[in-house]
Parts: sequence; structure tokens; C-alpha cells
Amino acid sequence: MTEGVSSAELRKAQNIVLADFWRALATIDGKASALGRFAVFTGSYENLFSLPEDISAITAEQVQAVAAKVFRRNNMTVGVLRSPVDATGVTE
Amino acid sequence: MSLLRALRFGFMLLWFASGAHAAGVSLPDYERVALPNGTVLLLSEKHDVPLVALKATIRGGAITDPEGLNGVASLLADAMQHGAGERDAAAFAEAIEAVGGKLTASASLEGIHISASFMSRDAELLIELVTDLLRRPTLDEEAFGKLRDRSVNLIRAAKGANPEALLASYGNAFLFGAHAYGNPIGGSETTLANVTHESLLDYFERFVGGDRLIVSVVGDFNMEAMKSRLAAAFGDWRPASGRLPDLADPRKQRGRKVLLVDKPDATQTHFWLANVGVAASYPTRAELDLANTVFGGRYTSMLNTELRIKAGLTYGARSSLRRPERRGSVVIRSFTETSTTVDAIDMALDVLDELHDSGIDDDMVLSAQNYIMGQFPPRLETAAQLAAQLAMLEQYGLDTSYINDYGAAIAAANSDSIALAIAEVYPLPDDLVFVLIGDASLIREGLSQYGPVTEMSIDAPRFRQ
Repeated sequence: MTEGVSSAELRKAQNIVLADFWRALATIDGKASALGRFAVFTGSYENLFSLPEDISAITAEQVQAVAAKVFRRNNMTVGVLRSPVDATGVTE
Repeated sequence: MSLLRALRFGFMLLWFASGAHAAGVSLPDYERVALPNGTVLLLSEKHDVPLVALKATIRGGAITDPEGLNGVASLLADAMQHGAGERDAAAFAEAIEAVGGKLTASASLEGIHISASFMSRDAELLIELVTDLLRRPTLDEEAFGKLRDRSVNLIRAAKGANPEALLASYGNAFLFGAHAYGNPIGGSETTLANVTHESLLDYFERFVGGDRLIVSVVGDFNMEAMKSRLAAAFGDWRPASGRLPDLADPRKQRGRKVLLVDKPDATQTHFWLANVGVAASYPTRAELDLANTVFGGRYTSMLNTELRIKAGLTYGARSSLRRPERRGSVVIRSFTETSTTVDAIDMALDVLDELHDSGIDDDMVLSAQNYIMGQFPPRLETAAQLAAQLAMLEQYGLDTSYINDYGAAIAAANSDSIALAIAEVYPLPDDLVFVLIGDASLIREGLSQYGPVTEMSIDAPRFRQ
């Protein structure tokens, strides 16, 4: 986190989100679902239409700000799946 | 007529018109270009979203695995993705991911397939990567060794925790015998161990080349530019040196025989009942699909209703049709608690009897027609789906009527025409291959009533007996 987000990483993430966005919109099911989701969660279905530009406009600082807000220790749920055999091969 | 009423009337006409149209799906216009080296290009522009989908098929696949080397086509498909052209494995994966692309390669019974989806602005990179993967794969020895070991470990893991995944490999080997349709696509522990780096390179030289390549591209691109780009990419590719096998139709099983794969710790039995079925070119496909939908193709099918919903013997009972170049298979499969193995099999046989005796009544025909026509259009919606469909038609020498006339054929089918398909394709309960994976000590005795039983251990490092 302290290293921040490189411009290459940001660009890659933007490309992945954008490509997945278009893949989802390639079906009528995906279009309906996107319209509904944007209407409910962003206040208007019209926000859907500017998403490609919105994604491209995101900066590394904005990504870091969201990460700092969301990826906090207090937001964490940790599950531990323990093998009955520990690393030394001894069964507990 | 007021403007409003006129508008309403117009909408109604439109609605009816589109309703009638919904009885079918038509393939988009596309161009077919046969390059002098044998490569076939299929191209269709589709501009709804800025994506390009590509499906490349090398005819061959598991049926071209050399004797004793089952799984080599599948290993090659894996290995091709681990470095090609100037890029090593990591750089190749990064080049795809950095632009949000998707690209996978896998082998099937009759082909090696590359499926890719990129944003249209990255179409040039897409073609570069696919060309490198097909023509200039690194096939690094160390990476190959790891992939081979992983394939072996996956089979071993499935034998322990997910034997269901191997049922078809045992089943096809038992049903098709020495015919290439009995080849396990992913190989067996024994045959994978036989595949050396040298045999992988040899297979690539013999069975991968421009003479058996189909490249299907659908999406947001310019037809002429894409055509010349692909022609430049593949037009001078060498042919493969080995011949594609000219397979005969497999012979149907007459009478019954049983293969019991012993898994001593199993608490349930997986069973697979089958016979030789039909090829991809089977003419009354609509009737057959309707029959299979009703018999075992959906949740409310005859098989699932009897075995799961009414009797509670299983969580699922299905029937399926494998339709390759030659006659494939008709399969009934399910699983049940060890103690109810015979009950569940008997019930499946009764349902098969009923399919032959009573056929499918008109209400059920209508329900199946609606079911298929509700699911068929969304399967040909995206560029990726269309690219795959065009490649499949080319591979099996089918024309566009396979899709364009399908809706009308579904609508025109009736219980009589479906009965003909049932009689022609579905085996009688007396002509079946039975394949089971389960605890032999508990189920062996009950199985002899079905026919001569061959037994093998799940620990045997092969699928053929």
C-alpha cells in the first residue's frame, strides 16, 4: 500500500474493468442487469452510459483513497482452514 | 384512426412480427475465405460493443493422439499458452491481462481450440498472440514437464475426491473400445507418463498446421482490413505432415455388458448407461433435441422426475448426446447411495422403456418446444458465441440452415416425428453399456443381472480395461 499504484497497474486494471464491462453488455441479460444496477445504486440508469469515460478518468490517488477506506483491519473477516496434519507431518 | 390508436396498432403489428421472428435465430452475414494453404477464415462484423472475439480450431484433437500417447493434444493446448513467439510464459500471460483480454486453449475430441476475446482497439495484439501461440509456441521442456505432472495429479485427485469427473473417460473407453472415440481427451496416468517432450514436438509437427486451421472472427472490426491481416498471419503457414484419420462409424453395442470400477471407500455409485448414438450431421436434430429435453435434458425431465423428485434416489439424473463427426454417444447418467444402486439403475431403465413405449405427448412437446426456444437465442447472442458457432459449422461441414432453420424445425416437430427420432437414436434397455464407479464389494452381486461384468480397480493407471 505504501508503494502506491503504478501507472501501468492502474492502466491494466482500467482495461480489465472496461473489457469486462463490454462483455457484460454484450447480452440482453447483461444490459438489463446493468441498467437496473445503475438505477438502484447510482440514482440513474443514465450513469451507465458514461462509465467507460469514468473508468478512464480514475487516478492512482483515487484508487489509493478507496483502498485506504475499504481495506482496513476493522473491515476484515478472516477464515482459517487448518489441516489436521501440521507442517511437520504430525497429526494433531 | 387517432394518432394514438394508430401508434398502438403499429406497435401491435411490430410485436406480432417480432414474435413470429422469435421462432428462430438467424446467423449474421459472414464471409468465408479459403486460403491457398487450406486455412479457412470466417469473418463477421458486429459493432454493438467494442469487442472482437476469435475462435481458432485445429482439426484433429484427441482422435489424433498417437497410440499409447492419449492426452498429448490436450497437453499441447496447455503448453502452447506457456510462452510463444518472443514472449516467455509470464510475458505472454501479462500481454493478455494488461489489456483486459481473455485467451484460452484446450483440446476436445476432434480439435484444439483457441478462444479469445479482446477489446477491438487491441485486435492487432490479439492476432499477434494467437498467431504466435499457433505457429511459434515455445513448448519449453521444463514447463511441459510441470504441465504433464499436473495432469497426472488432477486425474489422481479426481479418483480420490471426484470420480464423477472420470466417468465419461471410463465409459467412452468401454463403449467405443479401440475406436478413437474411446480416447480419454486428457489422457490417463499411463499414457501421460509416455508423453515425452520429444513426442510433444513430434505431435505439433504432425498434427498442427495451416491445412487444418479454421479461424473464426466476429466483432467490431473492418472486414477488409481483418481479412488481409489474417491472410498475412496464416496464409504461409506450413501444412501438418500427418494425415487426419478417416474414422469409420463406431458400431452399436448389441446386448449388454457391464464395467465396474472398484472404489472401495465409495459411499455412492456413479453410473453411466450408454450406446452409440448419432453424428453432428444427424438430420432431424430438432426432434432429437426435443426428445432429449423431455427425457433427461432438464430439471423436470422424465429421468430427473422419477429418480430425484419422486423417488429421492439422487440429486440428478440426466441424459446427453455427444454428436461428433461420426456417430457419438447417447448417455444416461446419475449417482446414488451405494445401497440403492440397483434400484436407481432399474428405475432409469424403466424410464428408458417408457420413452420407447409411450413416447412424448402433445403437452410435453409444447413444453419442450418452449424450453428450447427460450434457451436457443441467448446462446447465439455474443460475438464469442457466434464465432464458436461458425467455426463448429465449418468443422463439421454443416451449412447455415443448421441454425437458421432450427427454430422452424422445432416448431414443426410433433409427437409422431419425435417418436421416429427416439426409435432411431435411443437404445433399447436390452442394448446398453453399463459403467459404474463404486464399492465393488457391496454392489458386485447385484450387477450380474445386467450382463457380463468386467471389473477393474480405480487405482489402475488407465481407463481402458
